[in-house]
Amino acid sequence: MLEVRNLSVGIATPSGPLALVEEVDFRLEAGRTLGIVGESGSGKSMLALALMGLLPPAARASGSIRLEGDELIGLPEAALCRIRGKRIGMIFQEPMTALNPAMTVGEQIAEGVQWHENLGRRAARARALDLLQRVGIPEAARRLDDYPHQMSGGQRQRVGIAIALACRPRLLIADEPTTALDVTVQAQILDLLRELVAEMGMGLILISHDLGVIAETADDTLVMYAGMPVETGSSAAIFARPAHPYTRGLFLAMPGHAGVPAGAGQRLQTIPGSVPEPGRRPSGCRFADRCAYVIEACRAAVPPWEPLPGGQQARCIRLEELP
Amino acid sequence: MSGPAAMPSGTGAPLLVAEGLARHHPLARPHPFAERPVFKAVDGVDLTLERGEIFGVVGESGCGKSTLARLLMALEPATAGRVLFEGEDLLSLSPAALRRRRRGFQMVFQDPYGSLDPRLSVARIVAEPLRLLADGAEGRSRRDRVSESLQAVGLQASDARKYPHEFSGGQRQRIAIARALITRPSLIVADEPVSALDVSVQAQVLNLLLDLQESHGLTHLLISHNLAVVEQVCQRLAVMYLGRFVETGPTAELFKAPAHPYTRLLLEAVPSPDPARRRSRRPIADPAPAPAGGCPFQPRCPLAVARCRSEAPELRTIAPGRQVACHQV
Amino acid sequence: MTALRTVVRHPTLNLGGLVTLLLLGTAVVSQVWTPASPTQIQITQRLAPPLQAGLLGADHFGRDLTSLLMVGAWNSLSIAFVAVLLGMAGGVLLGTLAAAWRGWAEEVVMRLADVTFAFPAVLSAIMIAALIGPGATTAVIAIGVFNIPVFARVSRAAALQVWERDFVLAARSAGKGPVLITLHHVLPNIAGLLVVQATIQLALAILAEAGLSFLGVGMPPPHPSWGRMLSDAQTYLSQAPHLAILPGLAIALAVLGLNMLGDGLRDIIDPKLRRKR
Repeated sequence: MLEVRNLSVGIATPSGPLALVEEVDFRLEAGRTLGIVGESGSGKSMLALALMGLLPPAARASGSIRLEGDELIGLPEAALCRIRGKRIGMIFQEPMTALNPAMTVGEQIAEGVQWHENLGRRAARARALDLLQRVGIPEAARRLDDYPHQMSGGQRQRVGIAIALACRPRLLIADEPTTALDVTVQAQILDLLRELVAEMGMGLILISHDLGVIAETADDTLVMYAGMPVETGSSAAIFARPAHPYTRGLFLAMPGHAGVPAGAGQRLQTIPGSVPEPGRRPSGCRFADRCAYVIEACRAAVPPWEPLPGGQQARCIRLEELP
Repeated sequence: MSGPAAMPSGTGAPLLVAEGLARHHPLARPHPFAERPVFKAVDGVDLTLERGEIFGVVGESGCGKSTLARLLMALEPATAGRVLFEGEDLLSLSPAALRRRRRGFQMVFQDPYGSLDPRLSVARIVAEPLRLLADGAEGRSRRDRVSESLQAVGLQASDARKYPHEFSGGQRQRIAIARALITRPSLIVADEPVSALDVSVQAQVLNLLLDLQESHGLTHLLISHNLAVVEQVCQRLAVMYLGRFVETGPTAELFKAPAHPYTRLLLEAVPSPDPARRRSRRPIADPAPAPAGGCPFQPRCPLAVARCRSEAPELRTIAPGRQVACHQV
Repeated sequence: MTALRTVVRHPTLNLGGLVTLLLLGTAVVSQVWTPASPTQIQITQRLAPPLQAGLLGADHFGRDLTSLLMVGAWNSLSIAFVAVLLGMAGGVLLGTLAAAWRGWAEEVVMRLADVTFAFPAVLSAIMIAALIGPGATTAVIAIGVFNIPVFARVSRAAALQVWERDFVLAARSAGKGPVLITLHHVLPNIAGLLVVQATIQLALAILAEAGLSFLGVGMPPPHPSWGRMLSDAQTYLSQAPHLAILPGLAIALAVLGLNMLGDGLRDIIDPKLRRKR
């Protein structure tokens, strides 16, 4: 349904072009969830903006993004506008700033429907009510005329999801949808997203820095590091047998992960250093400077994808020699 | 950890004791003749910190955990209660006497970007609490102490000349910890010290806290919303909900057998980084404001009965070192 | 390095800075050299148009207009500068004080600011002039007092934001009181904003000084002043329009230049502040 090939995002700077995201490839089938995980500086947010066609003016995307066979890269803004909202729904991190404080939630949900489907006010309002019920807002009929500030953070994110769903999009992109929420509310929102994907058969791209969120929600996982995907495969495989040294390091640094020695006072494993900024990334393997297994050949060129059993792949030339 | 560290035995007097600590904020009256409503950010907290332990306070946003930290640090006036630091009530001290005591307890904040003044050099930032020392530490000894403090958190002495913007988030948090260490305090209160950091950097900072506990014999109060983090580093734990502790106890036991329904709800809600353990959850009730009377958790509680609506449960001991505030346990 | 690049590339800032520098240069030069004495009356050259007597002509007393404008720049600028400095000192003191001691002190300061703000500056200037007579001091006090509430508000709002930051909390647990926190943390962090505001207030102050001189409560004759030059020129508007146009142009140029400089500075300082937040 969605096919991304060799997607790169660059930005023009006074000292020449700077690559932010490089060589991203993935496929997403209807009814499945792809989790994109990465730390800050991994380029995952820029990737999300590229998929939505919402890159900042100075940034440029190259490569190919095909949604149900239609190429999105190079499409004029007007055409993208017709696709955004209609065929691609978007859920943002901060439900308060993503909603217009001066419009009722009902109007905001109905707005997209009226615009994209030429539905009348009454029909659009009926659809809005329907959606509000669907995303689990109690007493939806009464809350339709509420303003965003009258709702709690979790409810606002539910409204955000209703807006994204308004035109029954085929693809849903959620960029850190639960980062601003408490754990109990986060659990509710993740449950809701899972139900919706199963029920409506959409494809969902879930972007998060939280490995737990990805593990709970995504069928497949793409691990980003310093602007480049380093590992991809089914979530079950990646979380059970992380292959790339970065993925392994990330998992072992996370309290609560299966491989981490539990119990108060146990030291965590760490990855030395920090994620390099764009422009300071090493030229070969982006992880070379922080990797415990680095050899000369790692720095020579960007490692190709190495296949692993079960469709898992990792960009590391030393997979077979790793302990 | 096991044995004595997990269960603080009564070796020596506790470092800090809080009794009936409360912080109420008056709100605007709904109409001119109404009684002024009160928001109870912290509502009667008792807390004992033993020397050398890492004590965790977990709770969701708005539960009052940050206010509690500021009350313990005497940075905010309390509506009621006492904070005894090494036996001395901080809240009744004169400003000058309080200033002298402050060398014993320092704080680390959540946002490594907001907690360092961007206009000051690292040397000046780290040296700031030195004014709390009687000898003032001037000139050479001042420089030595700054270097010593920076090295204790894994930075270079030469970093003192730099400015905060030259450092990454994790390094900034190290600078903040170096500042807290410079007076050689016995207590550090860390309010969400890793929640703004990436996973790999978070691990570095957590390890640093553990190292400091061991090497400097520091006592930590760690405030966090992240249960996994608390489980990893804290010997004892308190779960906070709407201004009160609802459950306290040794971390391992509390995670193994949570007693309070809210603790169970929290533990269930944490996403597991293991897809094999993905489980279907019970539906969770939305957060609700505290009702006028009764148990504050009662509107969301699956176990609530009539008594919970009329009578607020007090913390009571259910096992050695474990306390729960629930009628149903 | 990048900061320097931003400055170089900012057209508004450059133009504004250039005009302001030119103005400042003229004012300073006027103190050591003018083409002719600005007080020397040459009745033969009365109302001479530009280039017929000196570069820009002469006024109704036959004084050299170029010299008058140059010395006028000094007088206008120095009055505006001292007035804004006065307003800034008072306003920042009150504003940061109000932010440091919330509660009734803040209320009193801000309500006082409101009252001053509501009182027309021209009216207060005329009142002060009635008390102590017209002159530079009158102009400085009238304009300065009017600037106090402006700076009080700006610095209070900015200071309150700084007080919300965690590093202030850290400073408090390091034993610093409100005065030290204001000196060490608040002032350095709001300084950029204050410079921007001061530049804009300077433009307004030049305008206000011209207005006061025009009304006759500013610098008394024979000290040249742009405002009084305009006022004097009214009578000869049809005979010698340059007498009105040139000082008017000087005022407009000065105000425009300072405003552009202020806007440019704000553009440069603001994104930096945003990034740090």
